[in-house]
Amino acid sequence: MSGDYEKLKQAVLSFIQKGEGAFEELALEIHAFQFNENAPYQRFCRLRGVGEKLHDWTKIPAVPQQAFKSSRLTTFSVDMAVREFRTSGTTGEGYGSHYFRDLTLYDAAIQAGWSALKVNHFPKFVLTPSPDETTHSSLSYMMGRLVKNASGSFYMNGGVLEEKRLRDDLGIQPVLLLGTALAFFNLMEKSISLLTLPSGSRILETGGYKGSGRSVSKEDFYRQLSEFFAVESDAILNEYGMTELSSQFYTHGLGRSHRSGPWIRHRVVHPLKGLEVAVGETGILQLFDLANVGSVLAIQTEDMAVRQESGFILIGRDPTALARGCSRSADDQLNG
Amino acid sequence: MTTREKVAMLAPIVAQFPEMGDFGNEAALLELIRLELGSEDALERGAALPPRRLLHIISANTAMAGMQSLVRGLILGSLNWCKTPRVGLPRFEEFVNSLPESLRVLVEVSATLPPSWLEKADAVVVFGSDSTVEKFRSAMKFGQIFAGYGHRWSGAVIFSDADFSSVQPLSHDICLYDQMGCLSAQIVWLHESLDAGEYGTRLAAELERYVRGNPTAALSFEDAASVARWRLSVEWKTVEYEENRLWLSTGEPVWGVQLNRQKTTPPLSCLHRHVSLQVFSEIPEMGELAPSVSTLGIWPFSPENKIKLESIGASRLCVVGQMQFPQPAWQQDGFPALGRLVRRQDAG
Repeated sequence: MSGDYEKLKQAVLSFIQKGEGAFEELALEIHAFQFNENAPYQRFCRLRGVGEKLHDWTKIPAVPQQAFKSSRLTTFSVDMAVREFRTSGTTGEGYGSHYFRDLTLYDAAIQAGWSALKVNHFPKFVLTPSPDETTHSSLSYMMGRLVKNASGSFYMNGGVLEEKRLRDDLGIQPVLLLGTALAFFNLMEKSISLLTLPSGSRILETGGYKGSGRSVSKEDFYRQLSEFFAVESDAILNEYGMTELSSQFYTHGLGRSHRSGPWIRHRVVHPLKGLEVAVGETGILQLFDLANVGSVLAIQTEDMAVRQESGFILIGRDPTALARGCSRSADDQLNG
Repeated sequence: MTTREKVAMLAPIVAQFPEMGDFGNEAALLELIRLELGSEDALERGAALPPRRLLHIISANTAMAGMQSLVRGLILGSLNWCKTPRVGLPRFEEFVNSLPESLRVLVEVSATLPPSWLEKADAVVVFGSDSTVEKFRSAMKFGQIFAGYGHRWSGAVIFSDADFSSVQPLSHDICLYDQMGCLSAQIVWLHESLDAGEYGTRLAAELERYVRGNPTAALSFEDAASVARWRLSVEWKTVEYEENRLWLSTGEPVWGVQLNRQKTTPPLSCLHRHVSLQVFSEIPEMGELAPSVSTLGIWPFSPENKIKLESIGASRLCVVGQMQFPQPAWQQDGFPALGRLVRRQDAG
């Protein structure tokens, strides 16, 4: 159903770029399209007793994020894919793949989300590999688009952070330094001196660092960034995204909500009941991304969040993904 | 107080806690002592030297294991320091408070761990995650006795069952204590000659009947998240492998049965009455789960069936329906739980 895909893609593009259309209608149309064209998704819907026609976007079944690791979730033949983004596969279960038939909506979502941040005028210094080096990394791809649309450069080559070149290239104009949280940690830990950014500079960090063996709070991480790069905590932005999505959420500083454009919505739900929790309560994060026309619109993440009036405050990964038995809820640390 | 006197005092108190099974049986306790210490009066004769101070580290879902450990410590006449979870452990505390004064003075309970306890304990028993056990083990000083009980799980193996008579006792093994602890069945292997789909349907019905008659407390957010995660995972497996089947409760109390037709070993349970059924032909393949299996329930329990499972390496094989009731003399994790706490003293 190539026609449906093109029609929906154009409708979502208009919504992202011009605000034309309504999220609810588009979401229901995309669900119907994906129900018909994405076989595993249809089976999932049927298992949940959900058919092609729905009248409430919040009833669209959210596919588990992990499903991208074991199923091909596409509305087209994978042979037609122009790009495959892969999850990092750090859990030892292999990687997940998100296939794209084209990147029009992906690019539009990056650009629209980025424009709202009002940091596009900064020269970009990127602490990730370039997209040429890591063709399956959605993060590198995003960074590549941002650099292409403005000035900037990549400072990670062959897995090596080019600190000297980074220091040499910094002038007196404010810059935007972008990278994963782990890249920032590595830079701060290996560097022998502070790296003072030009006044007015910004930092954008993403990706988290739990599982890296570092037991540092977000507050401490931002304090370290502030001290090392001489930027205020409020000048540090965070991007929340994932390979399984086409769009991103952003926040800045500490304790503020993540937000995005109107083409991606979220629900913070009770894990079992599936109902949205009250404002201020913690739940599991579900995301509904219209730009995911070619795969699945609704994704149940493994992240916990606190629902806000607008947006959500990210808590982090659901900690219950552990083998259970005698060890459950062990509350017996040495200094317990 | 002699060992026999202590046992006579303990047994009727323990018997008030049905989950302790034969730990409340005086004769069974004396048999345990004979088996593991050599004789009933080994302590009085000085043939077995007990730890003067015994530290028990008890995690949130191991109240019964903690109570059993405390019974051993009281039999030995040790001063028992019990570190309980921060969230409390009501059943354990109830047990401690039911002890007569002459035994109660041998027990101290704290939700925080005084450094002096770890420093001064002659023996340390730890129930918890593998990492917690390892953390304590690495903190031991030379000469301290250490007994660590890490992550374990249990399963059941149904070799034949024409009239599905194993379903009810299996449900009992699953549901008792809300599937907490390591003796509850988490995975059930069904011989290929059985109608696995029908077995799943009947087990689901039995679990539903059980929860209707035995309401449980609402799940915490953490537990609900764990259950939801397991359910979503097996739900997706059912999407991918259409031969798989799934039965889930629609409300609380929750339960769930997954029939896994894939060759790969299914995931362990999220607890709260969730099990996987796996079909086998000769001997169940437990893969990487095999080293941590605690108890295997067998149906029907026969010498032939028992022999078939011996090579898996479980520390206990029993009949389905009795998985939650090990004998006091059961050597948890394959070690004598009482005997490993004492030092032998030989004469001559």
